[in-house]
Amino acid sequence: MTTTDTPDLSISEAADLVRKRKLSPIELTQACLERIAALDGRVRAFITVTREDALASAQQAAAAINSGNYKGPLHGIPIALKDLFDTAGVRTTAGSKIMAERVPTEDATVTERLKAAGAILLGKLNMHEFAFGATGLNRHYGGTHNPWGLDRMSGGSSSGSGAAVAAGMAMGALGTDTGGSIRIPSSLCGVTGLKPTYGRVSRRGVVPLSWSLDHVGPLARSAADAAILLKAIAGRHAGDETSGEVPVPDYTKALVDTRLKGVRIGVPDTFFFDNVDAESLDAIRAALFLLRDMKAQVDEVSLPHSAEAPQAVAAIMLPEALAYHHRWLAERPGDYGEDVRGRLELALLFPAVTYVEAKRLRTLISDEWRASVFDHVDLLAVPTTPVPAPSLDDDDLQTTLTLTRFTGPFNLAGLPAISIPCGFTSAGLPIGLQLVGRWWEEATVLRVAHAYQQATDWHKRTPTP
Amino acid sequence: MTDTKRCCIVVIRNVFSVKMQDNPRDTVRRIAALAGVQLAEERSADLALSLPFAQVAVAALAAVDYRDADPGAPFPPRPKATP
Repeated sequence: MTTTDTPDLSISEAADLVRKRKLSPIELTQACLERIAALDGRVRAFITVTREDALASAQQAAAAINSGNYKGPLHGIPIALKDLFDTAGVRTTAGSKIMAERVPTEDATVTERLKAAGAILLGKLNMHEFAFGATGLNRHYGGTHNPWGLDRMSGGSSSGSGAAVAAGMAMGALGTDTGGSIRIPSSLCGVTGLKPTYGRVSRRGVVPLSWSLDHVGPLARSAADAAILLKAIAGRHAGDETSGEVPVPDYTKALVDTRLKGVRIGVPDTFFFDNVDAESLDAIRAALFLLRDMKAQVDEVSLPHSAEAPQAVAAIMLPEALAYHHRWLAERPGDYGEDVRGRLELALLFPAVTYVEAKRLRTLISDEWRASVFDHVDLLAVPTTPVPAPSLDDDDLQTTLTLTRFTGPFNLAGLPAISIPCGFTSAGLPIGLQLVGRWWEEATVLRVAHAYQQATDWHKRTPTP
Repeated sequence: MTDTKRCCIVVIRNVFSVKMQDNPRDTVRRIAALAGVQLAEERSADLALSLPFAQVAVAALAAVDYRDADPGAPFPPRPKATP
């Protein structure tokens, strides 16, 4: 292994070397910074690179480890954050002109927790403006290009998070997911992304898009790495009343058992397989056959109200986003990108009764899926997106609606859902499989994803942008 | 005006089913103004083109049988108690 290759290590592999003092956090951080310098002019994954801070943190980590104070698997590991997470002393733009000069005085809860775990923060990642779109194309900071095809979008809204991890510019990243914004860039960029249960991770210090639908979670090279990141950031914080008082298990320990005998996987009989790209469909079917070969029980299930779920996501997300942006939309409309401004204006057309009906649908879906679906299966398996990475030219509302079609329903339901690579198209674009578990059972989602990744190598492939 | 809930529904249904058909640009401009957002003529025209998108969501969610589903029910469900 050369220094040039070190950013392509998994977190687990790098952590093992760091713990044994065979790899220095300084060397690892420098390698990521060199990768950023070499590639980010083409990929545009970062809005801000905190080079000096990162190197200083790496030196501190190296000194601590050398003196026997090893904190755990994130100690000395270079990570990057979507530019929606507050970072004390480092500007947090939310991908916007409106917050372009905003420098928080406090860290978000997840920033604090990553720092406490010893992670090295490389910088702030590009994103769809205010996380309000799934293409990741940003009018103020430039669109993120997909490392697997620079003429393709990386997906969003956590566009830089997906692209940075795929290209080895960071060993892991955090993103947010309101309608699919962790899972979509994970699918389009060929990485692993987990949206945990609603309330599993505190959103204190995260610029909101839609309070009822926003989730925070990790993007990484593998389910094993996502498990390490989730363990570090999960758990209640009193500053976020929606974060749940639910014990956080050791997700890495849950990965030890890779046997799938007895695991019941449900495949929805409608909606989630409608109008799916043919090559993507073939890859998903092949993944399901493999899971069956691995002794999982795979059966069709019905998911009531799936078809109305995307409408409910829109009916909640749009008015809540408008409520957050109301004053700026009235006073500074020209400071928004045209796409985001148009979506905020579209929100004006959603009546209050429809918002309340959408909240009622969330309750109905929770009740019915718990009783009629998750009493019979442990997981659902569906495509993450109906199509692989679209062209950068396809930047419109319809593309966002297409990309979020199979992810949004699980934001409404608040269920934990992971996207893992399960193949490539003939054009060399990644395809994502989405596994969805019961509320609070991220450990099962990660365990099955990890078992699949032990039997395949899709997640180990790396692009050459 | 004693039944506020019913009055609101009547107004909304009128806006979306009658006024909108008469003059969609004027309808969206008035809705925006009600929220304190002033739309120029060309933006009202663009937004009027999006009315069908909102109509689809309104119609789809109006058609669901919600039974006794409470929009403020605790969410998400708590984990099952372990023995």
